Amino acid sequence: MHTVVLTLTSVVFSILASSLILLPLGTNPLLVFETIFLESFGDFYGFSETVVKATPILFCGLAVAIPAWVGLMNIGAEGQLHVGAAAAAGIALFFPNLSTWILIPTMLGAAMVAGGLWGGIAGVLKACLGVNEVMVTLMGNFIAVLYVDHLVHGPWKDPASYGWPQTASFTTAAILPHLGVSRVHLGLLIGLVAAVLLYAVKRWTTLGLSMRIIHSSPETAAYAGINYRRYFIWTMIVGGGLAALAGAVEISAIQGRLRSGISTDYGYTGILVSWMAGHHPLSVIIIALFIGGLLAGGDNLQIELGLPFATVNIVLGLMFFFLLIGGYFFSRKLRQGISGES
Amino acid sequence: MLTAVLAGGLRAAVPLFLAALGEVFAERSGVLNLGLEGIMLTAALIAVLVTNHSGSPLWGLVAAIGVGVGLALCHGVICIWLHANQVASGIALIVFGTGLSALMGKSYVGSKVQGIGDWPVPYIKDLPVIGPLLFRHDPVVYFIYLLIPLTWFLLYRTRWGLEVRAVGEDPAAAAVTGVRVRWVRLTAVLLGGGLAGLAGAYLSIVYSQLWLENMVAGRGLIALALVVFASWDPVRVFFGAWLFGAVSALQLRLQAAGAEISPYLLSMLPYLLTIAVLVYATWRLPNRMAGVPRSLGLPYIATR
Repeated sequence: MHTVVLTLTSVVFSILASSLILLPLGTNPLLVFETIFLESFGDFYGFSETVVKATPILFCGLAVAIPAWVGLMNIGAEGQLHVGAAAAAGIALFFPNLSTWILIPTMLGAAMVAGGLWGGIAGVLKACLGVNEVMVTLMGNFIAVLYVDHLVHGPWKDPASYGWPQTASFTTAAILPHLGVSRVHLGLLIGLVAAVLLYAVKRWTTLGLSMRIIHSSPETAAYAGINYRRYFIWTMIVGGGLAALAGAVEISAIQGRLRSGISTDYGYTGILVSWMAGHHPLSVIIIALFIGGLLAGGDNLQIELGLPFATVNIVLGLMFFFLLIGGYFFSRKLRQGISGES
Repeated sequence: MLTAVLAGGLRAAVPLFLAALGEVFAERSGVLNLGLEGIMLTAALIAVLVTNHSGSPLWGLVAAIGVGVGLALCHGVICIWLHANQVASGIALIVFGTGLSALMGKSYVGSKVQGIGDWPVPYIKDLPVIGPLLFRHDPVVYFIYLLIPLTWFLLYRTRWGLEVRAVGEDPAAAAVTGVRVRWVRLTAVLLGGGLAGLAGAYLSIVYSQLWLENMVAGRGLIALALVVFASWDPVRVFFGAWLFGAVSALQLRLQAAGAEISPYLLSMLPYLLTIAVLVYATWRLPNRMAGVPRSLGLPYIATR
């Protein structure tokens, strides 16, 4: 309940505050927010584009949320997404003759394994040596993005692409099915199922209970006989695997090939989404949809008002600030300042 | 060839060094500022705007430093007084800065700015090796030569520097001895913001002399890596920045020469090195000053 009030308050405040920034710059804030929200949520096509944007954000939000349950910060969803995309593309490019029923599960599986290993590195380093996971996952982002750049500029580059940094198109067997006539695809359903499953694990299993104990204090958990190190590693593996799925479904269903710039900072947006949702998997769905709408609105701002896409980042950034500020005043009443919880 | 790479690397190193140097002070005091990228972007744009309106790049630099301090103030208050998660606040700062600079700079994209040019030092510039390497640059580079010993002295030989290091290691113990933990942390964060602002201004009005959307291009995040790489030490930050800068200068040259090695794989090197250094530092030197400041990332909550 606290989270809902807090999130709504920060949304309202961020819209007011960004209006104060837009006005002196000669932009009509009403027009801006009308363009963003009316088109993203107002008609069928606009809403379908919102859902398309929300799909990778949903995965990335979950990828940040799961490690947060045991108190880890996964900044690396962006990199895990790229690793997943590369793995899925590798399968699609080198086994083009498989049937869809085998090819797509293999692509998604390869992405999860690759992303899980990538995220797992940070988990192992944290669990065994105490290395700061924020820094390791942040570095991992650069390495993974550069690796994808290397692939699409070098060994996997399509010779027929006239210099564009991209691979050849996937065969139709590697394209994830779309739902109806829209660009909304099966990835959405996978994400929704994942969110519900994670909620069930967190809510009704002893795993969820153990994670809550570890979050409040790893030492206490150790006294209770919980091997918190194993949880550090596995939450990072599962988080990495989910972020990787974001990359896999995005290139399979939307791009149809691997190229550079597949993600408009979905991984970093996932951090905001997870925080706004209080790291709650079902709330992540709603917040991802809302933020997806904002981002889809950013495209409309560009097309219709000639404003840069990044204008929506002002709203997003302020929203995050107000969430953090509000979190203090909410949690102060509950307990003496725990840093992370909202 | 080597001199040219190192001299080019030095210029590329300036924004990395300035931002990372400021971050050293912030992190040494226990506050991680992940938002350098956002500060640098906003400052880079403000520097261009002010330089264009006032006609003097000096005012551009001053305004950029002011903007850096202002944004760092937001981050500092939210993290130090409101105990917010520092990583989260930093991400918010990146996102906000990216958006604000893109919107405000919309009509300035690509336009040239009358910035600060090269200013070779008379006589010294003709010395063999040292001249072309160190003394044929812009004034900001020379300012850095002063900044290195100055910040070293500030951190290790002044009362304030001692307090910064103390509150970063053990704020409760520092508080007992009468240090005002929060104010020391805030001043360190503000210094970091000012230097990040200068770094952003260097990029726009000295290095490239124009404004482009998102022109900082990840340098704010690289600076964070650099701080770890240099184990939170101002002097090592300089040489680390130079190494990072030289790698990017070398990469451009290799590309121009049509070398076989992939520039993207080469660009990974600094990050791989950083992880290696971080792992080594945490593993071998857990309780030494060379390692991570012990209370980094943790809010100080006074108990009475």
